Amino acid sequence: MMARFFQWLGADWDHFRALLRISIQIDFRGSWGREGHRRRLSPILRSMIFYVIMGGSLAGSLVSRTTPFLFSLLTLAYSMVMMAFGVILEFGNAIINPDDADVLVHRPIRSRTYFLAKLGNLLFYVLLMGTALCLLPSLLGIWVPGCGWTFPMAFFPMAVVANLATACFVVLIYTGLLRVLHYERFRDVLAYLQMGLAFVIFFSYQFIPRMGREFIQMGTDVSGAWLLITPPAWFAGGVQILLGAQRSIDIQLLLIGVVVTLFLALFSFRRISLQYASQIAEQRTVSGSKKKGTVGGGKVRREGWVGRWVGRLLRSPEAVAGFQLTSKLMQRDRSVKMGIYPVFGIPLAVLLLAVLENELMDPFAHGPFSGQDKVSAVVVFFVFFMIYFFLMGMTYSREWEAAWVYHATPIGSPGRFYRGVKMAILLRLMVPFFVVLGLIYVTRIPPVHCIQHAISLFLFGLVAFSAVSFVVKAYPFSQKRERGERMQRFSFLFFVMPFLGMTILLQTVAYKNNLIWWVTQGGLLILFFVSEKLVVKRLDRILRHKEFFA
Amino acid sequence: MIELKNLTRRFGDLVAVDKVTLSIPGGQICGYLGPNGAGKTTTVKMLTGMIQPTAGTATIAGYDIREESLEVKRRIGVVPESAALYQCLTPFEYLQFVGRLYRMKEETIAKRIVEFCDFFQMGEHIHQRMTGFSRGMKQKVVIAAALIHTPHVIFLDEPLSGLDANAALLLKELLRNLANDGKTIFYCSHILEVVENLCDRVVIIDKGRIVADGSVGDLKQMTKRSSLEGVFSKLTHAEDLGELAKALSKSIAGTKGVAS
Repeated sequence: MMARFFQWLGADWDHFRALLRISIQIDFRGSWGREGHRRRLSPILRSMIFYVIMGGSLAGSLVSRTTPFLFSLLTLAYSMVMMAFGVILEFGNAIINPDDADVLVHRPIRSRTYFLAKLGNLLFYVLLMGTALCLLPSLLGIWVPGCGWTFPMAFFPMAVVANLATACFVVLIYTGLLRVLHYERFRDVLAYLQMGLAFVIFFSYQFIPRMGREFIQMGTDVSGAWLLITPPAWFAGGVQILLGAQRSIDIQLLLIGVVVTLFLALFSFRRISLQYASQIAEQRTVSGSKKKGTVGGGKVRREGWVGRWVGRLLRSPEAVAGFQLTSKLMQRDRSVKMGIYPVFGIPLAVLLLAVLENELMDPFAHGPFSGQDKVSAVVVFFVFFMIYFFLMGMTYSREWEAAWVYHATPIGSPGRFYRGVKMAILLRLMVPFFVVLGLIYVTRIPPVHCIQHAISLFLFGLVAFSAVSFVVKAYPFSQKRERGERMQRFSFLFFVMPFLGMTILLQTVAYKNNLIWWVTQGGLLILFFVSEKLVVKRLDRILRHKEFFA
Repeated sequence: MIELKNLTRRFGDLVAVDKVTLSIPGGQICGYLGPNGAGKTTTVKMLTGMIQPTAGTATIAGYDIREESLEVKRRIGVVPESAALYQCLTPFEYLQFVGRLYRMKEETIAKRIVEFCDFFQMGEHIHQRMTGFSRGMKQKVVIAAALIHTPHVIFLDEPLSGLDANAALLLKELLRNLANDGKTIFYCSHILEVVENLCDRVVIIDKGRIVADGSVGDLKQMTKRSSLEGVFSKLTHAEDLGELAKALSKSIAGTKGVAS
């Protein structure tokens, strides 16, 4: 029967099953451990564990303080944001995977079959992640005042639909761009597009706690025309209807939700379907023929002034090699770019929101990191967040097999090699970020305080660099990227948040007067140098005897 | 130059290389042959420091591969089977990167790069990203990267793959000259004709163990076969290959394919 149905769709049931099975198998396959024969849990499973914990924590904090509608609204908002972010980060693997072209393009597989298999894989991913995100909220919802044992049956299906609509929305944006951009150009743009989407989504995300706070303080149920343009509210309305409520607003919300979901699903699926056949062929031709760079006629080019300056600063040739490689790959390797640039969207969204809401204050004048100036504390977190994300992200690349070179060459000190990698991250990613940060702060803070604050954050960033280096376990660009890896990296950060409290406390003391501030900065600098020495020793010890499996 | 004593590597229960003992003097080109999965690449990976031996010892140029791995790596050049490199770099950038890992002077690196570009006639591509390069072009860059620091011992795993006839001829000549200059060359390949013509000595490995070691003439005499191909088939217990091929071709001919 299924075979006939697929035939009717213009696809092949056997091919579909084989493709879907293999893509799910790949998603769930754990990576190899250090010894080459010990398996680790796959990143997708680790992400799921994180989602379950986060969903449970949020739902747990809301259970006794909300109404059924508000509970659904807030938990669905959280789930939809996380889903959108997940699809954004994993888009390269979830929708278009360039490796597919090499493996499948010469096989007798119809593009429609391939499309359906990819779609099946995406739906499976959404269902899996959606389940992890909404499992505990749907169970804990039973104890929300006014709900009962029927809550999971109403909430869970709506959560699945909400997550599906979210995934389709992201897909629609991507495929829309694919229609107007050449594939290679699209892949270049993708990294920046991800950054933009991360910005938009986290900008919206900031409203969730604000909404929650406001509504809980109001003590009554939520209402108002604004709900009609709030996507999580559409599905929260659906939950209400399934629970038996008969408010007209709930019916309106559900109707909007159903219409929008159908629209998104139909259009996004159709868009992908139209793209695939030509896309894959094009992808293959382009990657085989395109040559970038200028012809040099065999002449040797001189190093740029940044390279020469960094060469002098780093001294060790290994560190210079690390710097040059990282700099080049950050500019040219799309998989590296897509792993790092979306992260910028998050702090920028938070900072913009702080500017709009007048929350950006002078930490020297308003009691640093006190109740009034929460933003400075958030910025400290983001500095740590970005450094962690960038440094850990640098271990992944599509060209991970080229990492044999580290093992077959006499790198005396892998730690010094990594110093070059860190220098590249600092100069190419963090310095521009601090410039933007300074420009934003200078609109609200006296320039002297702004510079002092920037110096303080920069020194904290250096210490954070060393701290994060303690968890690095692999050479740069030596790990194969797996689905769920970025999200897992992202989720790990939530667990280290409490440790940042100590740093914030330290900064609070430091900002009390100028003398203490200078002493603290000196202390941070010394801490950085000491920890750097330790980091180099650690990396030397770990990486020197690391084995390479390809 | 290369001394292996009971070198062993296990992956869980699988013994990939089993007590391999071997001595290769300077100036020799040693062909290292074996069927797929015999343990050739694992041996090369152990000798070049990519993986650690489970048991046994090995020295290269007098240095222990475990205790003095950095000294070993300073003296070896490697062309791995995968020939993987960072394709978004240009050949110049990649060779400069590798040269720096060997702590070579910048001027020396630049001079060598020009020499290799002239040798492999790839001057016009030196500042192009390797993303669009053919397999052969990439292979030339990998070979250049293996030789840029003038190593004493060179490990080559299928070095001719992707190279055009002229480049292959050029490389074989280069290897012969390097061996005449006293370099030791450890050559892994499945192309038996090349091994027969190029190598002074042939070592055959099967299921992780050495099954033959000697010059091509010695091996032919030992197995009473007239070609290295015959020697290889006999020593790796694959003599009824003709029958197997016949049986499969019959089966293929008798099966209704998708096209029929």
